Amino acid sequence: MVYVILILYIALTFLTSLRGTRALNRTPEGYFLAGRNLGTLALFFTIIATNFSAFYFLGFAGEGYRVGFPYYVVMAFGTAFACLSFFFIGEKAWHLGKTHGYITPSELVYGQTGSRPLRWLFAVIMIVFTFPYLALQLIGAGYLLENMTGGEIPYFLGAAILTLFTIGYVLLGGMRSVASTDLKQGLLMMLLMLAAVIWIAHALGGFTSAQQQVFERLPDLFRRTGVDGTYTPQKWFSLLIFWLFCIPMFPQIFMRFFVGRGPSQLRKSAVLYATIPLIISIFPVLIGLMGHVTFPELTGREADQILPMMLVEHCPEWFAALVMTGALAAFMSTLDSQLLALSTIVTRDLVLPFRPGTSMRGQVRIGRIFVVLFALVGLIIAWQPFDTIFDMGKLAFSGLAVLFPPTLAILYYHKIPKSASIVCVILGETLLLLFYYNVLPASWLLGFEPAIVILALEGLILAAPVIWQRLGAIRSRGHRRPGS
Amino acid sequence: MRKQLHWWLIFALLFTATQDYLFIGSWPDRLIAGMPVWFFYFLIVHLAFIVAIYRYSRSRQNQDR
Repeated sequence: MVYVILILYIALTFLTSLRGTRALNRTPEGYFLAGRNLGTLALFFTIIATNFSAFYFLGFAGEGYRVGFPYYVVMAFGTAFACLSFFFIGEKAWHLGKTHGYITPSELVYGQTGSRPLRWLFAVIMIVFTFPYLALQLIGAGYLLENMTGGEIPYFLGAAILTLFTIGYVLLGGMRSVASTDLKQGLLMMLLMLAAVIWIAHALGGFTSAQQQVFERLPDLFRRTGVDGTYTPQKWFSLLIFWLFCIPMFPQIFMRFFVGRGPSQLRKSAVLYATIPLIISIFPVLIGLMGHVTFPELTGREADQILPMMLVEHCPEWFAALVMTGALAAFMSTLDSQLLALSTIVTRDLVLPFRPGTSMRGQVRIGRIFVVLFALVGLIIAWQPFDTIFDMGKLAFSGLAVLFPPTLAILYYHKIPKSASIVCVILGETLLLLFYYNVLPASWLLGFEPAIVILALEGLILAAPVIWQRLGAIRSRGHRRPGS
Repeated sequence: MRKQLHWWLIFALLFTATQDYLFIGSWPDRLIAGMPVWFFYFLIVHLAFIVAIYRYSRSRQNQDR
């Protein structure tokens, strides 16, 4: 039954992606940006399906199990808060992209600043920090297929199968096919997760009763501070505002700011984006919480597998297979977008400047080669996964969030020198790695997440030259006045 | 412009108030319909945020026209 559902799903997705090939233009804008012509629903679902990934299914359930209910609150509100970036980053990026023909974020950076080092810095950082997140989809698929088939498909083979399948349909149709599959995969993901919560709660004697059992056993899971007081006020604040800076900097999300038919589509998507995470974020966290009734005392990587374990334990085989196929759909919809975004960045920002005469078809061909290469690199990273999915995601997300202040400066504040943006990015990434690997003491962060402290520091660095210029102007006016 | 500012102000106030409640307030330590009591306060604030975003989006659309 499991294999029938899997094969049926794969066949359906391939058929859907074929629509993309029919509509595909043989131009970089057609292949990489779906001809900048997506409507509101297609745009919204491609953003939400790209954003909700293995981190959502396995990471949310795992953290729901480890930390408890507060994780839902910070993630749902924090993610929804990111919709503000659709207005002040997305709209501006869309207008500039339409006017100047930008396809990648780093092209926009180069176009607005004329700085090649800044373009390459953006391109390299986006590629490097997307890799852990890309590998996370493959790790999730490995875990899921292993659980789904009772170990018949081992972890790494599962990751490899998902890689091959995703490469296949990205190569077929580019952004058009990715967006087309995202819409269906996004809808499938939401409905199946809702059904899974209802089914598992029913098996445990009803939702209220199941939650009450967990509450009586571990009340800390339901307190605002979570288990072991994890969510201090500083952590709450950090996680609530973190996603606003991080989500628009995912290259696969930033490129989606270019693909709408107009700014109106982005604005409507922003309203939906403020609403939908509130609804869908709760499903995996609730399953994670209810996991304490059936599987108490899991730790580390085991806790990350609580979602498939609960499905296998409490749902009929066909339904568990269907939900896990929906989860695989979410992994693929993120992976395909990441592969497409990274291959576009390499083609346009790192290859094209050295081979300026490359034809449009040539660019698409180079992009396709990098899709395959990057998928294989992701698979190599997935060979030896991090301790928890949450840790792996956090490093990738923080590395990308560091790019937010310079991006804002490039879009709006032209007086800020390019050198300040370069210093900002290099210093920010260096500090992040030093904090991550405990070279710098965590006590310097005063309880906040490293990314938040670094973002504040970047804001100061970017503002310093402007403040200095203003002070200089005030001083020179002061000197002139007595003689005038 | 003044209308937009009005909505953002409401959101900013609610958000600040939530932070205060979440950190200092003392909600009863029990569940209602399987959810912690403090969650419902959070839910109201989030709904206010959605309304604020919707109004802001509409006002931007009207500006374009």
